[in-house]
Amino acid sequence: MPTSHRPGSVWVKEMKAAGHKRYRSGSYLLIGFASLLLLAALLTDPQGYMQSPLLMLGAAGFISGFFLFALGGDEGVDARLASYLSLQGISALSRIIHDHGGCGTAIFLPPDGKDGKVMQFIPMRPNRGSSQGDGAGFACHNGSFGTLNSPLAGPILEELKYDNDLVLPSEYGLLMGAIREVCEDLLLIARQVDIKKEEGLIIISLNNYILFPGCASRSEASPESCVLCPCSICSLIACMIAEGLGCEVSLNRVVLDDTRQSLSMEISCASKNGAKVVQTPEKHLRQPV
Amino acid sequence: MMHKKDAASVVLTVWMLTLSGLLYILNIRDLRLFIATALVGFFIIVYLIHPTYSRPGYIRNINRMAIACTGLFGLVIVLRILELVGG
Repeated sequence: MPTSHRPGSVWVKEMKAAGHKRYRSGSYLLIGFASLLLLAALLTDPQGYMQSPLLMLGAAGFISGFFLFALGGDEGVDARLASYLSLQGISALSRIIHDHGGCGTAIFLPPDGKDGKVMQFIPMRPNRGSSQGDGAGFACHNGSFGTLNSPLAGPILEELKYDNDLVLPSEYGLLMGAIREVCEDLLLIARQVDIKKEEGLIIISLNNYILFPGCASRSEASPESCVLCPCSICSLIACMIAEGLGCEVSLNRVVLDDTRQSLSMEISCASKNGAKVVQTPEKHLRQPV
Repeated sequence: MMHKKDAASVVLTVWMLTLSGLLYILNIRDLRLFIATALVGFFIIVYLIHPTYSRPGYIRNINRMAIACTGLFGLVIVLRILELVGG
């Protein structure tokens, strides 16, 4: 399947920070300057130009120019616009979930088996059931009812694995390195990622978060919807932890710092402990147990 | 804090400027020596900035450039060996 037709690819491109153009502009300047230096070396001393220091500076300019050219490449979009594009429809979705009885925090369940995928369980009161035939629908998990769906970041996680050879280590320290790499290098959504562990919680801070404006507007409208139906990056990070460590992950709190344009998320992990998600048959769901 | 891509470009430029200044001061006007040592710096920088768990788009370009630079480095070394063998 061509990459451009995969669902996450457009989103990945949106996530690229504006600023790649400066690498390209810098590379053109350096290569142009290097050409001038070579020309100057040839004109000043046509016989002994190989000994000219201008030639060395010209070579340095060419190497730096090509290096900058290689570092640039992807065209970025305006970060503010991208932050709102990535949130399109999410506020309506979380409102629907809330109106249907969604409450508490979403739980990201690790994949069942090697070919499984991370699923998102949103606790809610059972009133109406439906089976979607793809493992999604109403379910019962650890005694509570809720919806079981593919998380919002499911397609982008698959895209990163498919297109960028992303691997998720099963060791905590290595996995945190992979998360840092995805945010800083792959998606370029944060300048610096700080990760620490406090009282059993994993606190991940994305400093200079480029999608901050959209995130702030959603959090301002409804702070509880962030943990009920995590969007974009929070969902992606939770999916990575659930798949990497093989544990149940929930987003406890999201804190935004306006001055540093940073997003901090508190994530808790619980081992699976053999708890199983039971797909609830429709007839049972009509009568709450 | 500077992003590693920015830091890599700055370090490579500083390395090559220092190198050319040093060669000029020592009166060594050998372009091949300059290219070989500059490329050693380039390879070290590429090794240091290479991500471990993923392959971002820019790394593919850097890998292509590294292949071309390996060819250039090999050519410089072969020319130097031929020069030494030829006396």
